[in-house]
Amino acid sequence: MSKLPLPHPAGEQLLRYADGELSSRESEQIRVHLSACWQCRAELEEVEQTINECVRYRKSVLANLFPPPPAPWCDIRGRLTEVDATLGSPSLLERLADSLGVLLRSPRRWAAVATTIVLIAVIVSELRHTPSVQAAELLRKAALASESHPQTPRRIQIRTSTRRITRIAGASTATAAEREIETSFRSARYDWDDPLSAKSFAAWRSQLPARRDSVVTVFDNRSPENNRYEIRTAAESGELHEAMLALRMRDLRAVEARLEFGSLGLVEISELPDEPFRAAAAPEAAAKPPAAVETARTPEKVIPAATASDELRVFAALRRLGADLGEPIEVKRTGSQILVSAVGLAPRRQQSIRQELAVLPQVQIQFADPSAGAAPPVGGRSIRSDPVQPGVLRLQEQLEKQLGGRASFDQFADQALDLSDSLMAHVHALNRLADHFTADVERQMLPPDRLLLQRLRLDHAQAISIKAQSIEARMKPVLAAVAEEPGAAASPAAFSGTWQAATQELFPQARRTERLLAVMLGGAASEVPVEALPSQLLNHLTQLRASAEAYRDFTAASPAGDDR
Amino acid sequence: MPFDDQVAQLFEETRDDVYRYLMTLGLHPPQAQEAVQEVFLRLYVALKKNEEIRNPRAWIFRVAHNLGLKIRERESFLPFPAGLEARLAARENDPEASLLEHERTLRFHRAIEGLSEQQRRCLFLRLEGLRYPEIAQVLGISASAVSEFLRRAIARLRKVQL
Ligand SMILES: [Zn+2]
Repeated sequence: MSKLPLPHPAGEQLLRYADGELSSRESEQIRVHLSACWQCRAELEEVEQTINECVRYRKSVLANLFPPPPAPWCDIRGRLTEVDATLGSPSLLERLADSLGVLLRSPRRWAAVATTIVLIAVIVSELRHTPSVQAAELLRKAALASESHPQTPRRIQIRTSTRRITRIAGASTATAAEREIETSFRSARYDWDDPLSAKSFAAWRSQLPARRDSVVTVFDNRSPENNRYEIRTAAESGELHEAMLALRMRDLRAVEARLEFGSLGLVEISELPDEPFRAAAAPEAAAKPPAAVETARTPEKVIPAATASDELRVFAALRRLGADLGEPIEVKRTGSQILVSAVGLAPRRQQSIRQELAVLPQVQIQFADPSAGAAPPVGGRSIRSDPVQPGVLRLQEQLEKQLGGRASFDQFADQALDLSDSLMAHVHALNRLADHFTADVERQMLPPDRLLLQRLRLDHAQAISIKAQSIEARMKPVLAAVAEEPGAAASPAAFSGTWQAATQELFPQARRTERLLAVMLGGAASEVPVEALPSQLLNHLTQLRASAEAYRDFTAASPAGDDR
Repeated sequence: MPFDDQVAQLFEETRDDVYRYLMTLGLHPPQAQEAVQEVFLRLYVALKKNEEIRNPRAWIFRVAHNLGLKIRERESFLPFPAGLEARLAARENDPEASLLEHERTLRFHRAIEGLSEQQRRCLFLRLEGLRYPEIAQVLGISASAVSEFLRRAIARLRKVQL
């Protein structure tokens, strides 16, 4: 009598078996069962297939489609040295590690130690020097921005633990309550006239003998216009212990401040809408058009210039979306703004671009409908717009025979031409980077920016290389059969000098190959003798593949940003 | 190996995986990147404190997971999958991938999206190489709950393939 050893294992058992999560005894039982039971073996195979699919998903979707890290990775060893230096006093290390230990031993108690953790996060962030650079840079830009877009005097609300007062920035102090707060501000050397501003914050920060900064980016997913940077500066001495200034990302306007005074405690400053104020408190101001106030207040305007770094971040954002490949999107740096304009993008595309750009400062977006203005001609290949030359037609017939019919030829041609289109889109994108970031501009950029630029270039270079390889692989066997002479070996391509110059060398090669492909497969008018076409195309494809590889290696190897 | 070498090596090897994992939790790229760097500094501090860390990879993911949730709580976050769908859709024209392949990926992606949060977390942590007890520790559940979540996740994903 035959019997199955043990009943069919439950689905969970099978998964645990596949995952090596069973004890050796359990796993042996299943193994014995599986050797006897086809059903369960088939079942197991399906589980494995789904696991494969998950692995594939991780590789192709998660790894490829999530945006890359927005900044180059930090120099971890440098950070560790900073930790060493700052944690030199054992007490701080002790304290840090103790709180961490609590967390690590019992992850469920996370909520209980939440405040400690936040504190640790702040301490550790402050060990780095980059936040102070970031803070100074943000404050500088914000101050310039507010000078260039002067506001009518703002109505602000100031809250202490005991009082809540409303005042007009710059107005003279009236009440006793205000005078008390003013005294604290003055002794802390924090400008009382305009307390909710980057300029006042920066002035206070820069006179501190010692300070620690941190910069946090806060995203508001529901209303991205509220995304903001929070700059926190802790002073080691003085009346004002710690201050936080929130800058709205979109225009770097100071929207909130929190100041921790020694005697006064926490003071929170926020902005109030100014309509009621104008009507009630300042009738003359309300009567004047705002423009008059503007010119009266600032005789000369300072426009904060948008930098190459700002522009680069726009290109990086477009790259993440693949929106730098042949879509009619223009990027222009004009004075204080990066203008991103496009005509005729689908609404969904417009939205994802807006989303991606929302977090970048000084970006102005102009999307127009094709109906609103003259639409640019929609790109796209026009196959056989010219009558196909008889010679080329004969060649195509030979290819058809090889490939097994007209339909197969059409499919083959479409795929090759698509690849070539997409290769050219990357070449154009590179060209555009070379135009916008000339060698001179690049020299002025900071190392992390140069690194980001290099990464963008590498991205395109890799795509070009892969596509060139793939076109060559497809075309070579087909062309070899009809070519009069065998393809020559590629002459080794070498790039030197600037990458901008290298890009200029690569461009005509790619352009020429594209042209020959269009003649051969698309029936465009030929300027080379038809007999020579296959072998010429063959040579060009081989050469382009070699050049693209060399260009990629050149891009990967060329120093960018590491000369610090 | 000195601690700083250990941390530097682990950082090289693991940072991209951790970065991606944090984004599956719904963090924005800058938040995720910041958190990754934080995790490795914490690892360093823990090592210096002679904390016993048997499997650094599991440790890293556990700390990253907790830190990620903390950040998510404090700041606004993106629902999974954070714009992946749009990116997937944009790939439609990629001649490298056939249309069929593309459709299949999209279907699978939607199925992943349709998993419960716990199922998805178990699945992603398993994909990063964590064993059941380690996943259990990250999520604060039992190892048998992990296998149950994984079984259900696999069962749901299996249907899509057919
Ligand atoms: Zn069975």
